[in-house]
Amino acid sequence: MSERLRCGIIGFEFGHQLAFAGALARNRPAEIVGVANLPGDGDGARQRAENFAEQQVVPHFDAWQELLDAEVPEAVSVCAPPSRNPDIVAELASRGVHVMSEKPVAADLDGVRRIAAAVHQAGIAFTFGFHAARFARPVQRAISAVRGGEVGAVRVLNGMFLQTKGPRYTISVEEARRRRAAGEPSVGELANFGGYLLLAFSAYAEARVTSVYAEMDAFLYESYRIAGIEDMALLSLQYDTGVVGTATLGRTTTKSLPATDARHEIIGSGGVLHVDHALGDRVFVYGQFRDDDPYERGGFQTPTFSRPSHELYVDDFVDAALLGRQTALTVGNALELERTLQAAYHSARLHQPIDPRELM
Amino acid sequence: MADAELVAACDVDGQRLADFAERAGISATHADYRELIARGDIDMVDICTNDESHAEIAIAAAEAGKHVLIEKPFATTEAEGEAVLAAVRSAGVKAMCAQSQRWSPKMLEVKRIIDSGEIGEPIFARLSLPSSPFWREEESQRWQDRPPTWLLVHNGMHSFDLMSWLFDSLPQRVMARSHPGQGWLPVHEYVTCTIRFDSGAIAQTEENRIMQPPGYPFHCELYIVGTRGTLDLSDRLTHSVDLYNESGFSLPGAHVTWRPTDPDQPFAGEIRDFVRAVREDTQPPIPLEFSLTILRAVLAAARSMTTGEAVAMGHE
Repeated sequence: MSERLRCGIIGFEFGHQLAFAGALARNRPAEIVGVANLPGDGDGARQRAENFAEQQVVPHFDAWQELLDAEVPEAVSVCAPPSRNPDIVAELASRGVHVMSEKPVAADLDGVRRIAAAVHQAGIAFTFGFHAARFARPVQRAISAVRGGEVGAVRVLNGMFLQTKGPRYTISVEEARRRRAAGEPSVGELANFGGYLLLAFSAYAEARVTSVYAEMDAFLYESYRIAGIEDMALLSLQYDTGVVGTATLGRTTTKSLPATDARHEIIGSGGVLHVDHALGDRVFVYGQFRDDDPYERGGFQTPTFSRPSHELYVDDFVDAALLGRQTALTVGNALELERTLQAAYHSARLHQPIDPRELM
Repeated sequence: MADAELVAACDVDGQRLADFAERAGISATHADYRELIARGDIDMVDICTNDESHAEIAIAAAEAGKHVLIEKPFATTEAEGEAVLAAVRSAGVKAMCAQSQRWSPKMLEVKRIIDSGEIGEPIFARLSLPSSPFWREEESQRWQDRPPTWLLVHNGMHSFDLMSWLFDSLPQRVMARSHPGQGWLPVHEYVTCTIRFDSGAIAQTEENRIMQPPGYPFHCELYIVGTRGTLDLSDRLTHSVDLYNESGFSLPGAHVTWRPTDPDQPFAGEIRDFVRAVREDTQPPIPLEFSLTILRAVLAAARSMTTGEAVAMGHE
């Protein structure tokens, strides 16, 4: 086993990359060897990439293929738009590079299939960005409690993942119009957040979804209406073990909620378990409103009692790449998740439940 | 209650009837409801019997010229519901399906907040009302003859009524799923309904008797997202409504609390207001026509639960 993992960072358009890249930089076996932007990255993304490269004292590349050629990383963290991600992941896999991919991994089921095929063929380690679904400490404790039999047989799963008012770089009306005119796809909040709930549910239930019913709309944001994507979605789920579930996902306009409102309820034959991994497990320090707060919610800090989930997720990826084992969030999980999400979108159009297994 | 006088009571259980009569200080008791509604000294009856008998008794009472307050569900089929409404209209009496939740202090506070516009237009809600579990297996015999959809019809009348009242809109489409629970009853002990309302708003309701471990609080949870804010009600750990909107949590009024009150208060409130409608000859607070629409939506949910398909409703 190698003791070091040479890591590249590709794409800084999304804020999550700074968290993932930072976690990789703090991970002892991981070594950052280079940073690259993607075509179409804006000025902000370019500045973030250059700053990070300078901070890590590694080269910055304008093109991500140049990073691969020059530094030959063994693994990368890639944050690309879902519509372009499958091409990038497929090329990375073809070069034998382990991939930590931002979510959503693709804009449609075909895209995830291509990623799955490439990952399987190359035999690389792959994971994707829904870290809180497996690594948030309260969720980990809940998974452990459920598997330890503390609630008996799981019967009902209820969950909520509601992000508060979006950061300033959430799709604007102008950007929505531009994308619509150009025929570029946008991803709604069901696809953006759905994995946070559904992947936790699959860990609790250890079962497959057999039926999805969904109601969704662009209720709150004009830009979402223009782009034809949802800001709120309700899912009603049935699993092959008889477990039933509900999932509430979306982005509200509420500014003053202190964080994402994320709650899970697990009802079993022997008990009930409540998980609150957004408002719980942390300290809130309230202060003055801050102009630089992208969520415009006011100035508060949320130091947690434990290592944040994205760091544990990065640890899992690095270990999997070095040890040649599966990650906690596999490409199979990504495929299963995408089928459920696509079933939900079909359901919302047809107003009837859909079996995701029919979307093979 | 100053405006009403309890005259007589009826129950098929003699001991329960005797105990109640002694507690209420009345001497007139009957084992057959027909005897009670034949009395000339009664203006109104309050029907709180098994669900399946509500319509029969309500129709008989209306035909006898009595105003009727009927425990939910006021009927268990659409035909029964229509028959009750026809009998009430024909007799010219007042009738109302009891919905005590509308008179609970916390729901009155939620309604006030919504109507004040503090969270804007409500677009999403998730509601879980308290209900007692079916307790132990040996006590389950009395539920053995109920169908799988019984809990949904019995308790769903509350949930659907409450959401329609709070949203000021009627259910348009519904999808229900259930879990049988412990499995010693035909009745499914857990039902969740996904509802699209005429206003476009969406909601999920939960009827849950599946699992309430010892010490688990008998509680209600209601989470509403509006176009301008979020309302989060729970009395599981605290008696509070948390209100988040653009004012931010630094301002007073974001956290609304109420005192746990007399558990009879919601029931007293609905009876008081129905009695007032009878005495003042005004429309009861919840028109029976409205409750018939709610019953149709609940029965549509029951069909959805049985067939596994969503059901759309057409309103009159």
